[in-house]
Amino acid sequence: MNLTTVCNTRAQEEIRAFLNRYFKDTGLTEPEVNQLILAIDEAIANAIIHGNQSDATKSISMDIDFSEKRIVIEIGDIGLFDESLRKEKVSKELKDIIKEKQKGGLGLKLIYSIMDIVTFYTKDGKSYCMMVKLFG
Amino acid sequence: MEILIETVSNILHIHISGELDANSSIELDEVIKKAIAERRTRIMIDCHALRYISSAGVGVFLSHLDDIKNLGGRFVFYSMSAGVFSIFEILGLHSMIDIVKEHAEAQKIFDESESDNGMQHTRAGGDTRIP
Repeated sequence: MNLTTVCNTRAQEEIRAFLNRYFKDTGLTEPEVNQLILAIDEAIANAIIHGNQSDATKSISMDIDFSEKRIVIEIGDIGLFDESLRKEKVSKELKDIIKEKQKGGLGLKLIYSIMDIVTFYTKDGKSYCMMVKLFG
Repeated sequence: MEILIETVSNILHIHISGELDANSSIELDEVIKKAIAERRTRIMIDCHALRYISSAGVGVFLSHLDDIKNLGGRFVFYSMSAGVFSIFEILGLHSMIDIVKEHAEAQKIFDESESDNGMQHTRAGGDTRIP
């Protein structure tokens, strides 16, 4: 399945509705579907806001490869990414996030908690996030 | 997303319906900022019609948590669906903030904290609807 969306957070509600319909006949449980949609939503939000500065002239693509044993989701172009900043965000303690009154930084934590494999890479001059969830 | 605000007996009730994500959480942030500026920091969050919350929505509450506590207030969430609760649970927040099943339990938390502080009930009125 392939989907391309405009680079604007206003599009996210419709993307979630689309994903709900897509996952309906996969046999996944409701909590599994909810968590997958959450992880995808967070990755897309990061790509729109941080990677592409909500530039509505750009677009974000999403490829989903679903099978009985695993789902692979590839999202791009996620823009420039700083690996050390990403690691810092994921490892940051909640109490420090609260202390520093941060609004961001939780999305990556959710993604890494939900998905089994998360990788970031560049291909043909574009940046991608690949997330894998294994079943069974 | 829609936010309904009402103040009853010194408690600010925020009823959130729909989906709270990176786009809609900006409105919620403004509501809470205004409440803090007005020192209305005893805040009950009605989640019964909240269908979805992303990290941006959770982040709004977290970013104001210290200010609310420093002003002697608190957030108490109630009627949260299993799906929304699971997001707080994944982040480990369910053990750091008050999340209860029903409105009556949320009210009890404020009643107890009020009697602990020896405060008196006052009635404030008015409500605001934010589309």
